[in-house]
Amino acid sequence: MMKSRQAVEWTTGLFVVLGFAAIFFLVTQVTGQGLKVNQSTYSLTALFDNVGGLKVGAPVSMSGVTVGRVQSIRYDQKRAKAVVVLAVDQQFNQIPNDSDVAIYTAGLLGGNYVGITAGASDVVFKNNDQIELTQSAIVLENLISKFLFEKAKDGTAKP
Amino acid sequence: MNITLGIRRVGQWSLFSVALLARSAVVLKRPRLLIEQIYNCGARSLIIVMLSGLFVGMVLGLQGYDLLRRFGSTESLGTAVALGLLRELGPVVTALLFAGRAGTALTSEIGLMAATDQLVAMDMMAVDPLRRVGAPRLWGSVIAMPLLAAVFAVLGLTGAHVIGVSLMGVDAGQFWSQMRASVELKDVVEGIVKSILFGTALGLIAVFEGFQSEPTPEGVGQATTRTVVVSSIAVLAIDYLVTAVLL
Amino acid sequence: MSGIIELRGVDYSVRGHAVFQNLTLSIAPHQVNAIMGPSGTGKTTLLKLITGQIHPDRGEVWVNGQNLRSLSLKALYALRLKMGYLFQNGALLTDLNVFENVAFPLREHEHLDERALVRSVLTTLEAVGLRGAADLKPSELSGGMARRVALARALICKPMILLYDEPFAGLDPIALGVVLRLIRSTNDELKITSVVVSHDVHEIEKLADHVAILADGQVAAQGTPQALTQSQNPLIKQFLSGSPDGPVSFHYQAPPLEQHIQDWMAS
Repeated sequence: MMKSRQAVEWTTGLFVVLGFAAIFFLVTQVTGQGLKVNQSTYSLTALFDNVGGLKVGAPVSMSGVTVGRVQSIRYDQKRAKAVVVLAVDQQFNQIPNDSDVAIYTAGLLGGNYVGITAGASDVVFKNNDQIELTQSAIVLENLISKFLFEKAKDGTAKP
Repeated sequence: MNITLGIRRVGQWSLFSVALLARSAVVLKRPRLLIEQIYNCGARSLIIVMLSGLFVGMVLGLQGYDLLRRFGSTESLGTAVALGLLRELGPVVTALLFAGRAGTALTSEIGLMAATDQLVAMDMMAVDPLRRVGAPRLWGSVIAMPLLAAVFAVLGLTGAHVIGVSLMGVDAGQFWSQMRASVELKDVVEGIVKSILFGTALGLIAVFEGFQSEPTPEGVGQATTRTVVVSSIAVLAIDYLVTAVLL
Repeated sequence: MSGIIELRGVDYSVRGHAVFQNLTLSIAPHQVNAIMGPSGTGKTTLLKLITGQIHPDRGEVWVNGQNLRSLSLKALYALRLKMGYLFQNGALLTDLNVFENVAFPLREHEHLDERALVRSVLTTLEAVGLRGAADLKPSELSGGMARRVALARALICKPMILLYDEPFAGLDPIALGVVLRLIRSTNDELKITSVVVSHDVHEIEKLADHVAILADGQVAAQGTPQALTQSQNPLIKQFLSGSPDGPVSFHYQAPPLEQHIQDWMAS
């Protein structure tokens, strides 16, 4: 049970470092705040009427493959729309500039993510370009009320 | 266990704890003693905490996936596991393991010193046993606990990631991004505050039981058992109180 | 009375049983004083009263001109620095080796540089003949060796008074001889006062300058060993000769045998 003084000090130091590293990891990698590691990405902006439950950090995918992350979401009062900035991985720099972007839902109660459907243009998006064609998130309540409204219309129209 | 005896004991413990805390300056003057106790309480509990964290994380991954699958929201697995570990399972399970491994070690070490007259010998040499033996062990416990709880949480997340992503097919990105979006700094802080409180309570109980033990082999054994029982209940009670206050 | 240690009119009871009643004892400086008596007469309790571990119910204990009851914890600790105490089992700290055990009082109370400390420790170990055992653990020592290390530890801060609790118990004849010589030599060379609690009559006869025999909570007799061997007091005669019966009876209190068998079967 009696280790040499040096061994005890060394092991304790290791333990303390490990513990603080764990705390550091939890604070930065697990919470919403924390340091952002700089990756080689470029930014694309999109305006939405409704972002639904989209959160910062949600994936951006094309054809189902993740190509980037949502970097920031804010509301622009003047344009009365939500401004979403996407951080797209540098290697995906061949996105046609007539592609459209929509907010999808993963699963029934799942989180939202951004999907880009490629267009046909020869010109590609560059850093800080804005995606013109956007489709907002489908909000469940709107869908249900729309359905009921249609149902009611059919009901009254039929003789 | 009769009530009057229990209340008396709580009183004894309170007075003892005040005396122990009053002698805390020694850890600044004699850092070597503190380092030895951080080793004793922390480094020697590391393996069990890491293994337990990994297994608990893996179970959380499995159970969480199964539960969320029924609602179609398996990509929230990261969030569920992280919040569960950071706020509750990390500090509480680590504290219970700590009571079993480090708490019993502290009580039996001190109890043995009492039984073999070592504490009296120190008293005879004009060395205050509370200062020399008790205070460093208390602070070793206070410092080791939050570090251990953090390691537990990290390994838990690792275990859950391995199960959820590699085995169950949850998207790694969703796992972490959902987590990052829903977990706040205050959740981590809650976990750390809890583990510091647990460390203090566990240290005070284990050291008290050691000093108060009957100086016989049976007495030390009984004191060690009491440490585990009282510590476990105390941890769960404090957990409720802190959760209620912070929520 | 002007002994270096004095007990005046001391009463002390444990759980209703009176250990000492109006005990008065004076211990003279610079000699080996023995305290003897049958088991259970409170010899160890007497040592605890001298060190201030316990206080008498009535009466006073004076050590080096100070009334122990009037001392604060700090003052008591200061006084204890001048006293060395040798426990029956040595009471070495089990997580430290021999060297560190002997160094313990120095590390706690004095701020010597490492070289001076090492010199002091090894010299003291040399005096008890155990310098070569400096890196052993207490669990690796025999009873006699442990006691010698404990003696070294008690000596290292150059105390004025050394208290020995049953230093001869359980030792083989060679170790006994060593301990005897050490007690005598440290007392004479360092000019300290030694108080030896023991019931080893043969050893004490060879060693002590003054003997006090305790019985029934008081000092039954005291004097030089020679004077006591010539005493006619029946208790002292029984004790010194080791006969099984006399004022201290062989049989523990019990009812007559037939009655006892009846009572036992009934319970």
